Amino acid sequence: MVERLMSRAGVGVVVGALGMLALSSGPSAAPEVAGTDRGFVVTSFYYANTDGGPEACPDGLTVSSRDMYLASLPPAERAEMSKVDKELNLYAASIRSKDGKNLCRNPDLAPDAHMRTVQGGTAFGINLDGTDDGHATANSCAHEKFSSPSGVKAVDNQFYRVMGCVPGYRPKGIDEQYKSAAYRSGEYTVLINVMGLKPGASDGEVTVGIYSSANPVPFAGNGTPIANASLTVHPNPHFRAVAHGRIAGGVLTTDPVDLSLYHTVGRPSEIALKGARLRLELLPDGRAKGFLAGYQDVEFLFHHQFDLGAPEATEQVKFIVAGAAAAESGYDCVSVMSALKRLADGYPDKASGRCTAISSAFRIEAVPAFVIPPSDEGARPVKPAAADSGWVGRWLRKLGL
Amino acid sequence: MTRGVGRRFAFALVAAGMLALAGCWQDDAPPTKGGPVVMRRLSEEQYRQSIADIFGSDIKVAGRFEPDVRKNGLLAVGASAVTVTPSGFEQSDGRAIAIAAQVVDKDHRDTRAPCRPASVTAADDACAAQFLRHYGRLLFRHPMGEARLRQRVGDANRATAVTGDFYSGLAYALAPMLYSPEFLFRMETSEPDPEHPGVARLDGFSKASRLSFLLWNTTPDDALLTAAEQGDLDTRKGISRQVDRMLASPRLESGVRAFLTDFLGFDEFDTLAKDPVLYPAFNQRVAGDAREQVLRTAIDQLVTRDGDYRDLFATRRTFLTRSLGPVYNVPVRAETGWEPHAFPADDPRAGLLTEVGFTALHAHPGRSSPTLRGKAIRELILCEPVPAPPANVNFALVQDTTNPRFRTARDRLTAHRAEPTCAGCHKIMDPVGLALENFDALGAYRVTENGAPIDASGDLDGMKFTDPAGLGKAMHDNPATVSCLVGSLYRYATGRAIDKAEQPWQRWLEQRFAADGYRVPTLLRRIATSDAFFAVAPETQPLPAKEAMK
Repeated sequence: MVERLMSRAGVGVVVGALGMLALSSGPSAAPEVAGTDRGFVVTSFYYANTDGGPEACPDGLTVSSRDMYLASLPPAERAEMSKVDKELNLYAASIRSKDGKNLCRNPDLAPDAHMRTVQGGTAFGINLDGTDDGHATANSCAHEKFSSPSGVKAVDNQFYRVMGCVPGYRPKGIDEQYKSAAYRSGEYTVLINVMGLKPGASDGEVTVGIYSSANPVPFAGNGTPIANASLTVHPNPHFRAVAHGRIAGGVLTTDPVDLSLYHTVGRPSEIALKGARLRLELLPDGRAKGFLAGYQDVEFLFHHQFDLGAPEATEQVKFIVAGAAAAESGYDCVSVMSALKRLADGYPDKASGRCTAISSAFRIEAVPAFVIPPSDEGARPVKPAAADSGWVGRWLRKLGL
Repeated sequence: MTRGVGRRFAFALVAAGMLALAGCWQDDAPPTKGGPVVMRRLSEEQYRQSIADIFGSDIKVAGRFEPDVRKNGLLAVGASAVTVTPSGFEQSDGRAIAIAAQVVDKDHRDTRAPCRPASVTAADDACAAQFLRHYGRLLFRHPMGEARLRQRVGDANRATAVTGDFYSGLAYALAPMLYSPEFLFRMETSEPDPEHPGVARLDGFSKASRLSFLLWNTTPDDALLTAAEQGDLDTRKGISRQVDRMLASPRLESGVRAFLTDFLGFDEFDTLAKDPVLYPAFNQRVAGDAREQVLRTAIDQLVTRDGDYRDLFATRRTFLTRSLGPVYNVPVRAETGWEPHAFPADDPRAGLLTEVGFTALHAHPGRSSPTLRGKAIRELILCEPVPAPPANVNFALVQDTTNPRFRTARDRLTAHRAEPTCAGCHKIMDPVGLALENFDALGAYRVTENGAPIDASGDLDGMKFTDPAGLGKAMHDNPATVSCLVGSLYRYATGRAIDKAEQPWQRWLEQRFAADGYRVPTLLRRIATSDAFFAVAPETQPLPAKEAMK
């Protein structure tokens, strides 16, 4: 590998100094430039959800914190809070604890309402724990497996089990619409670089870079993804990972790797996947589609995707934003956190034996692209430093943002 | 584009080499009486650049400009044949008022006015005169006569009396100068040439304008106007001094860019469109970058490197942006702006004709066109006019790209040429245009069309080739490539077709261009320091239209 890198430099291909880190797997590794490599820019990125059929949510869909709050009010007060001009107040009130705390930041301050979760056996994803039946292992907790609509067995996707009956998280739901639109508008971008396949070979061992990029995904005016664009790997090494993988029969699969992807939920955020695996079909026309799956730490996931509001926003605005997301998607933060913990299936805590992370899968589509190494300047801030004292602020400071 | 030490060093060499030339003043050049004086309307770019140079680049120039007219192959020649229409005058009037108001507003008056009035609420003869004299000289490209100056000062004073504001009065007097014919047109005047009895020449201020618009594409600066005022431009030495100063300036790039933009017909980019379904990678940014790419490639070769003009058709060096990357299917590392790129020796792309700025511009929105590309090469690059098609010609066969019998453009055009009325012109255009069929209507590389392999072989005036790079080589070696550039640059410089009596001079210029290594800055110097460039002949013999482009 070293010889390969050096020979490329010798023929004029620029390889960043950080590129040498690509020799080791895991976060902070940096990519190298194409050549015989195959690069992709992901053009569609969202949780691998599915309708799941009538058996998925036999008792119906979930109830939002707003609707639960309204139901708890006396009729006159309920009528008053249901007025259009009270909408923002209602959002905030629906996630306020008895002592005035934000329940989407402090989900343990209220009793679990036991949200409806998926009962069916169909879901997309990847077998992450390596078992056929979901029995407990040293690295996982007992759980039920899914089968995919196309017949793939032993799929792990407990995040779908938690959120699959939430209206906003179902196919074409408001969360998918919002996050897909954010992705298409360039708020976050994912790159994949398949490196090291021998010239002329279609199958073989490869090294796979999975990176964020600060460059927007290129789309034509009519919505068609533009192939063969150049996109630069994210300047922050935290958002880069390199895994070992293989191509067999036109399908790329990778070994587990911990990775972090830059993300936004109306503010800077992150998707962190432990033991992430990629399964991509490499299509004859150059495109690729498949899944990126891994375990999300429950605490990290909750605070990055449900505890909403920009770091610089006032507490009242954070109440409104998080409450609005819960109301419009149709969940309540307390129940979500409870379900995430209850159904977590990976990374058991050594002391308690309870799993701390939940299997998840993202459905991705990609077109060919040139994956460009970041400049040698190394990590640099991409967002203003945040003065937030909560989760987001701590995370941003940890990243040096 | 920044030019480095290398370019300055190159110019130092050129300047040093030219000292001998200046001394003998190109005495071996055939004598010529020149052509008539011309009155040229400023192009939009010249107008904008003049305003920026005179008042500052932060002065906004708004509104639409009248369309230019191409004549004898150049907009610069067409500029000598256009007027200002009533609607164009309205636009000009509005633009002038807006500019004048900006120049004297509170944000600009302190830095743009050369004096302060005794009171901002009362007329100030001396300050108004100083202001209007200063800008009148720059706008009209010669000093304002005293009578006209007094008239304008009077206007300013009357407006100040009405408005109670000195600066409003200045704006009122300045605006008419901005829509005056003396600003909107480059009005040349002649005088007897004392060194050549019976022959006229341009006066010093007209010379200054010709030099400035040729070399910098903008209005003469203070140094050039001062040289004209002092009579320096009436001497060969004085002209050489100014020309060398201007050639050494970074602003030479603007002058060469303006010529290339005109020469290559880049006004066509204003209406360039592609079918978004067939070519999703196309958008207006791609179009703008494609245009800029050609200009950067050419400026790099001709100005920065002071290289051989003919190599433009074979060079592997160019510049790319992220927008262009998908069309060329190459990685672009720079996230913003431009980066140099060199196509490998075995790459099908070589030379200006294989750049998207040429292949996309000369193609239909939904399909490539060997005919349009061939016509552009013949007319723009080789100065060989191609007759318009007959009115009753049937294009159905050529336009049907789905006909399984004629899968490639070569197949379709071969069938089309079976029509005797079409054959003559297509024989001129198609063999060169077909060489670029490896590039689709957007300019992306392809090896097949409708599943059939593309044959890019052909010949240019007897020189055979097998691929686009071969066409570039043939263009490099074709004498018409050189004569077209020389003739076009001279027509661009003078704003008129070449007179019959000037043909020996043009032939001489071509020979010198070859002897000078086909270097454009040196060619510019030969033109700008020649007697011919400033000679005025009231009686001229226009060439037949067929030859007027050469």
